[in-house]
Amino acid sequence: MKQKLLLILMVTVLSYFNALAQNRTITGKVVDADDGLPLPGVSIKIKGTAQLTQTTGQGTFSISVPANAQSLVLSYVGYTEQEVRITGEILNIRMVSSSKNLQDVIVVAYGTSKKEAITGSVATLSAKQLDNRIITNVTNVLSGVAPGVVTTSGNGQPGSSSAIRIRGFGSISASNSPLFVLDGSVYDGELGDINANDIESISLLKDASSSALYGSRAANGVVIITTKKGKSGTPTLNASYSQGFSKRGIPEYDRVGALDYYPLMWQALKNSLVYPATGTGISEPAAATQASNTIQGQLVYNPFNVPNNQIVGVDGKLNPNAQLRYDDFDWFKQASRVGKRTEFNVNSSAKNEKTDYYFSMNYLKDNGYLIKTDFERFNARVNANTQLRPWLKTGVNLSGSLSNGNLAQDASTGSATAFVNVFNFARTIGPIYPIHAFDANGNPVLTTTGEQWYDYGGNPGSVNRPQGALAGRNVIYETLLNEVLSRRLALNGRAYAEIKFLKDFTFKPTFSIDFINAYSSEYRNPVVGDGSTVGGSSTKRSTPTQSYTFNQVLSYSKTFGNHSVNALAGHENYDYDWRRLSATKQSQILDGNTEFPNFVTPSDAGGYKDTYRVESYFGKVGYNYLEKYFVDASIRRDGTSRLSSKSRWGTFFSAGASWAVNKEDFMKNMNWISDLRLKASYGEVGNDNLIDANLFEHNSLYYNYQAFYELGWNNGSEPGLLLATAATPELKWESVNTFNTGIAFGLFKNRLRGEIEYFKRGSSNLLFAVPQPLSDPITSIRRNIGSMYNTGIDLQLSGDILKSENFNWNLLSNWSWLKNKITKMPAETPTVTSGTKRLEVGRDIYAYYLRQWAGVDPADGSALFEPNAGVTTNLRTVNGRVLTTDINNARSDYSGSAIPDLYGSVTNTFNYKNFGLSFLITYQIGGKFYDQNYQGLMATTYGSALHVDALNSWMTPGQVTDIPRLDIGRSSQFNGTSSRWLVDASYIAFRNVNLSYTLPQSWIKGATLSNVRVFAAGENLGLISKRKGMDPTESFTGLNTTNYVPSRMISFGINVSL
Amino acid sequence: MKYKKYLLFAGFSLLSITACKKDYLDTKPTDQVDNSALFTSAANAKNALNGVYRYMFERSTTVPDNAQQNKPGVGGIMLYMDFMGEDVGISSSNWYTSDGGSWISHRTDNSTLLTYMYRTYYRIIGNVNYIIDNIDQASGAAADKNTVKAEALTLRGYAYFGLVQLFGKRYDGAAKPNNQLGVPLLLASTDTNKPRATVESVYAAIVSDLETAISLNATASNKSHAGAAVAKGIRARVALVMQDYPNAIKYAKDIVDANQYPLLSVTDYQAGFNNATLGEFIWSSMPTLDQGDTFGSYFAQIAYNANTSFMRGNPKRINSALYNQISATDVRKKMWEPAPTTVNFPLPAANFARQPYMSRKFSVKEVGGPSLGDVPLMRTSEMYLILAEAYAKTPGSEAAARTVLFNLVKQRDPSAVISVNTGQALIDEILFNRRIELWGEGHRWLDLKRLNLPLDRTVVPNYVPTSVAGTLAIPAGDVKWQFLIPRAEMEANSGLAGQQNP
Repeated sequence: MKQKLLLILMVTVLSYFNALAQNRTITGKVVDADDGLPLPGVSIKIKGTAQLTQTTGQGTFSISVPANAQSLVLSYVGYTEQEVRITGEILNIRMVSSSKNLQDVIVVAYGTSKKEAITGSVATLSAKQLDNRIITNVTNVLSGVAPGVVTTSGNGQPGSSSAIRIRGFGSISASNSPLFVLDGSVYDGELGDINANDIESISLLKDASSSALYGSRAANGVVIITTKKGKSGTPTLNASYSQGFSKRGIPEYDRVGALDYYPLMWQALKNSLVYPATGTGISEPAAATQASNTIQGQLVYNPFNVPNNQIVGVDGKLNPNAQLRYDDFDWFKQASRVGKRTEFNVNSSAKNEKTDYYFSMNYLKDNGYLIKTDFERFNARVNANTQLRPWLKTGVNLSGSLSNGNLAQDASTGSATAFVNVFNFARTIGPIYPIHAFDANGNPVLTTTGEQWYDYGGNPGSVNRPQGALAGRNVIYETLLNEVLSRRLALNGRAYAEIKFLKDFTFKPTFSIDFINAYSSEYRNPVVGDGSTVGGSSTKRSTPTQSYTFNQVLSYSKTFGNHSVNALAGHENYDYDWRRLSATKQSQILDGNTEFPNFVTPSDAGGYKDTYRVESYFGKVGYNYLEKYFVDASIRRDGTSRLSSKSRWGTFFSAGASWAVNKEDFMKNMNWISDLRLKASYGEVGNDNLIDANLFEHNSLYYNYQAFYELGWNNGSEPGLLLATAATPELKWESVNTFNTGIAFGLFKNRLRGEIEYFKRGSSNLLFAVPQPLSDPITSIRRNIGSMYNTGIDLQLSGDILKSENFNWNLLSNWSWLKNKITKMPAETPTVTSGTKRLEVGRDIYAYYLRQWAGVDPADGSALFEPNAGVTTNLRTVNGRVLTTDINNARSDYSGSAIPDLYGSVTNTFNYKNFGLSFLITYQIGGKFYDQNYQGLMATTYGSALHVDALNSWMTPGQVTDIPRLDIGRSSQFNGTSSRWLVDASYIAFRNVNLSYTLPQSWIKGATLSNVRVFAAGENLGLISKRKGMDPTESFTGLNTTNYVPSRMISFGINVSL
Repeated sequence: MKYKKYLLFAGFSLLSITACKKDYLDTKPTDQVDNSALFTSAANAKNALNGVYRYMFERSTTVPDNAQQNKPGVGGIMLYMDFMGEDVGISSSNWYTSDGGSWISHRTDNSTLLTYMYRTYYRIIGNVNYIIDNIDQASGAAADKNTVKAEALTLRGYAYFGLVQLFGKRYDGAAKPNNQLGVPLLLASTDTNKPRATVESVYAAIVSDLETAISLNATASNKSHAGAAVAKGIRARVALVMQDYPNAIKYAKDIVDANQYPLLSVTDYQAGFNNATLGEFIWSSMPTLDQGDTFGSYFAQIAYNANTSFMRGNPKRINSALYNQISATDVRKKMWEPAPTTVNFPLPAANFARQPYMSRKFSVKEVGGPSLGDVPLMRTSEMYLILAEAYAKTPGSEAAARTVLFNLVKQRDPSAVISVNTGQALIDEILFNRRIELWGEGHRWLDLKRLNLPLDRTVVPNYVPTSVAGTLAIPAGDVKWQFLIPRAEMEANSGLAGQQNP
C-alpha cells in the first residue's frame, strides 16, 4: 500500500513539474468510431516526447502540450493506433476498433482478404468476442457464433473438445469434422492445447469457394485460428486472473428412491410369475405372496428395519413400518465436488516500424466437478516478426504447451458401459445399494483405523449385490484407487520469410511443425475391479505425433487505374507421422508405485506407426473493378498417400463473384441503405479422411487401398497373420461441391445489419464401406458410391436496438435451416441399417429406422408393436388394431430424423457506461432424439435403477398407460429398441452470460494502469429439453450415452492492462 | 535491381526442386504386410494358418466393442452351445443366458450373436481358402506343403460343420438326400455371393475336405494344429451327426486304438482342463501368457477361479438332477459342489459368489494371472463316447458299446462296473456320460438337435427361469432349432434372396 501511495505521489509531483514547462492545454473526447461510445483509458502521447495522459471514464482528456507539439498519438488495447494532428484546443477523436479492422480484413486460406472481396461464405470470431468467455478448449465457443455452425455440448471432462459441423453432414463413412488451420498451416495438435487468450481471430470457411485452397481436406469446412501479434507502438502488458467454480450442468434423470424401488421390483417379479414367457402363470394372489417372500432374495440388500420377507406386502406396497437404517445411496454426490478453475494469463506486445513481438504465458488449472478429473496446462508463446530489409521480412511464431490431467473414464474414452465409468455406474445402480459397508443392523463396518469400509464385495461381511447392481464393484472406491493420467507436451512452430521483388511480387516460404508427445498411464489397483483379477496392472502408452508442412507461395498484387489484380501460386507438402508404443505389466509388488519395475508379469507390448503425406500445387486469381465488381477463382491439385498411385491426384477448384451494389450510382439517393452486396460462388473440394468406426482412437484409415494381412495373430509362440483387407486401387476422393449465394446488407447507417445465404452442398463419390456378404473373406470393401446433399439457408441479423451516449443494446441472431438428403446408395446395398438408423435414397443421413411401438395393452400391460406383414404368432387385437407383443416380429419403419428443422442462437449485448452485459442462447427446433439413457432406466433388472416413470407402469387390468408392466422376464422384449424411445430434440441452452465492469480512469490513473476490467461469467447455465436429464446437444446422431455430463461454471476475474 | 531478378529465378527454382520424389506418397503400414508376400513359401503360408488358430481363440472383433467380451472365438460358440441347453446355467439374466440361453438372439436376425457365430466360421473359411488355393504354387518341401494343406482342409471342414449344424435343419440319415437349405458353400478364395447349398452337399464337402486331409496324414507340430488325428476326430463327429455309424466307428476307433492321446488320470482330471500337454487333449487352443485376455477368453467365462465380474457373480452351475445321478465314486462328481462353503470350495477372493451345484471343472492356469487356459477343442473321451454310441446304434454291437463305455468310465470311477443295459437304456447311459463328461465343452445343444430331442428345462430343479426370460421348453423340430441367417448377410449376399430360415 505504501508503495502505491508513493507511486501516486511521484506521478502527481512529476506531472506538476511537467505542467510548469507547458504552455497550452488541449482537451477533448475519444469515442469509438463505430458506436460513438466514449473510450476510457486511452493513452495519449505527445509525439516526440514521453508525455502521456489517459482519457477519463467519460472518454475525456486534458493534456498540456509544448508550443511546438504537432500531433498526438493515441493507443488503446483492441483499437488501431492513431496519430492526430493538433488542429485546435478541443479535439474530438474517433478510434477504430482493431477487431472492426479484423472484420474488414479477414484471414482466409493462404492470406487475408477484405471482407467485401470475399465471394464465398466466411464467418469470423474476434478476440473481443472471445474475451467474454471462459475457455479451456477453443471448440467450446464455436457454438452459436455463426449460422450454419453447430457444435455438440462436449463433455464435462476439463480440456475436452466439442465436435463441430459446418453446414450439415458431408460424409457417411469419412470424417465430418472441419479442417483446423493454425497460423497458416494445418494443425495436428489437440485443440485443448491452444491458449484461447492468444487467439486474435477465428475464421470459419463455410463454403467450397472460400476453402478450395485447402483442396482434399476442405470438404467439411475449415476453421482458421490466427494468434495475436504486436500491434501497438506503446508496449502493452495485459494480465488477467480468473477463478471459476463448476458443478454438473445438466441434472441427473429422475430416478426412484429406495422407498419406491422395492415395490416396483416386487411388481416386476410378481408380473413375471403371473405372465411367464412360456407355460401358464400362477394366480395373482399366489404370485403376490411368492413375490413378497422372495423379492429380497433377488435384490439381496435389505436397507430397512423389517424382516426380509416383510419389506413389501402382498398388496405391493412398502411395509408401512419400514424405515431406512442408513441413507448412503447417492453415488453421484459422493463422486462430485465443487469444480474449480483457475487461470492466469500474461501477455505483452509491441510494434515499431520494423519489428513486432507478442509473447504470452498462461497457467490453467481446471479441476472438474467429478473426483479425480482435472486438467493443468502451461502455455507459452512468442510471435516475433521483423522487416530485415525493405524487401525481406521474417518471423517466427512458437508455442509450447504442457498439460497434465486425471481423466474420467466415460463413453468418450471408450468406456461407455464400463464399471469404472462413474456416469454409467452411478446412474445404473439401484437406490438400495450403499456406497459404504453396513452390517445387518445398519451400523457402519469400520476398518482397523476407524474408517468405514467401502461396499465392494471384498469388505468384511460383504454380500454380493445382484448382477444388475454391478456386483463386486464400487466405482467410488475404484476411482480413488485407480489412476488414469494423461500428459502431453506440444510444440508448434511457424516460421516464414517474405521476400518482395519486382515491386508487385512476394515470395513466401513457410515451414510449420506440430510436435505432440502424448503419454498416458493407466493403473488398475489390485484391490477392487479389473486390476484385482491380475494383482494390479499398469499400462503405459506413448503416442508421439510429428507433422510438418512446408509451403512456398508466390503472390502478385497490382492496381492499374480502376483495375486491381491479385494472384498467388504455391506448392506445399505435408507429412504426418504418428506412432504408438504401449505396454502392460501385471501383478503389482508394492503399493503406491505404478511404474513397470514394480510389476511382475509383462502381459502386452505393442506399437505401430502411421504415415500420411500430401503434396499440393495451388493457385488463385482475384480481380476487382473499382472495388465494386469482384471475381476470383482458385485451383488446387493434391496428391495423397491415402489413395493408390492410380487415383491419388485430384483437382479442386472454385470460382466466385460479388457485387457491391451500394457503390453504384443509382444507390446514391437511397441513404437508408448503407451497405448492400450480392455474391455467388461455386467450388469443389475433397475428403479423404476415411474413418474406421471400429477403432476408438486414432481412427483414420491411411492405407485403405492396399490389400493386407495383419500382423500380430500369433498362435502361441508361432508367428501368425490374418487376412485383413482387400485391395481397392480404384478408390478416389469424396468430392463436395458447394454452391453458395448471398446478400449482405446494412440499413440506417448500419444500425441493422444482416446476411442471408443459400447453399447447396453436394457430396458425391461418397466413400462407403460396402458390406460384402459375411460369407466372403473380407466383409467390407471401400468404394466411392453414394451421393448426398445438404441444402440450407443461413441467416444472420444484427441490430443496435438502442444506441445512446450511455446505453447500448445490440442483438445478434443466427438462424440455420438445413436439409440433408441421400441421393445415391451402393447397388449391392441400397439400404444400410445400423443401430437405430437406416441409410436409403430419399432419406437423410440420420433417419431413424425402428421397430414401431404401439403402446400398452390395458388388459395385461404387455408392450405392443405393429407386426411385420405375414406374422402369425403372438398377435392380438387391441382397440381394433392387430398388434404383436413380440418385438422380434415388430415392423421396422422410418421414424423421423435426428436432424432438426431449425437451429440458431441469440446474443444480446448491453453496455451501460462502464458496464457490459452479454448473453448467448442457442436453440434447436425439431428433430428427434433417441434417449438411450432413459431406455436403460426403464428396463427392469434386479439391482438396476429405475426412472420415476416406472411408477406409472401398468399394474392393474384395464389400466390405460403408456408404460408396460414391469416384468423381469420380459423386460428385454418390452423395453427393446423401438420408436418408443424417441423424443422431440428441441432445446434451449443458456450457453454464456458475461457481466463486466471497467474501472473508471480516475480510480486507476494513479497506478499507471490503462485499463482494469472486472467480470463475472457463466458458462452452460441451463438447458431446457423435453426430459430432465436428457441433453440433446450431446451428439449429432441423436443418441446419448454415458458421457461426462457437461459442467456449469461461474467465474470471476480481473483483467489489467498496463 | 538485377539481384531481384536472380531472386525471382531462385524462387522459382526452389518451387521446382521441392516438388517431391515420386515415392513420397507411397506409405505403408507397420502392422500389416502385403498379401503377395505370403504364399511364396510353405513356411510363410504356415503363418497364415497360425493366424487362423489364433483367430479361433481371440475375442470376436466382428461385433461392436461392448458385445465382444463374451465372444472368444470358437470357445464362445462352445459356451453358447451349452447355455442353450439345460445342463449349464447361471442364476441371473446375463451373458450367454439373456441372449443365447433365452433362445432370443439366434432368432433375431440382427443380433450380434448371429453375426458373431456366422462370421467366425466364415472368416476361418475365407482365410483357409486362400491357403488352399495358393499352397500348391508355393516353394518348399512337398511334406511341408501337404501339412499346411491338410490342416487348412481340416479347418474348412470344421467350420462348415459348425455352420451347417447351426443354420441348417438337422441332418436326417433316414431322409437322404437332405435337400433342406444349408449354408453358402464357398470353396475357392474367389467365390462370392453364393446361395445356400443343400445340407447334403455341405456335408459332402465337409466329408471330402476331411477325407482328403486324412489321406495327407499331416503331423501336427503341436496340439493347437489340426493334424491327422483332429481330422479323424471331426470326421467321426460328422459321421455321428449324419447317423453314419460305420464311419463314426471307423474314425473314432482309429483314435481310441492308436492311444496316442490316452485318457486323463483321476489326478489330471482334477487339474482344471486347462493344459493341452495332458494326454487326452487331441486339439486345443494354446494361448500364451500375453494372449490370455483376462476378461475375454474362454476361461474368463467358465473357469471357477477366473477373477472376472462375470465369474465372481455368476458361478456356472450344473443341472442338479444330472449331478445327482453321478456315482459318488466318480471323479466327475468332484467337478461340481452341491453345497459350496468356504471350506469345501475355496475361492480366490471374498467377493466370489458361492451357489449350489457350482462348477470347479475349469480352472485358470494361474490364479492372479490372466484368465489363461488351453481351450479343449477335442478330447479322447469324446471319441470313446462317439464309438460307444455308434456301436450301440449298430445292430449286434451292443457288447462292443458296453466295453468301450466301460473303458472310459472305469478310468473316471475306480468302482465302476460294466454296464448291463441294452437298447435305449444303453444309449441313455452313453448320453448321460456324454453330458457329464463334456459339460461346458460345447456339445449339449448340438446333441439335442442331432438326436431330435426337445429342450426341457422344467425337469431341471435348479434352473432359474428368469435367467433365460422364462424360456423353459422348446419342442423337438421347432423352427427355433435353426439359427436365422444374419440380416447383414441377407442384405449383402445377392445369392440369398428368399432363403432366410422360417
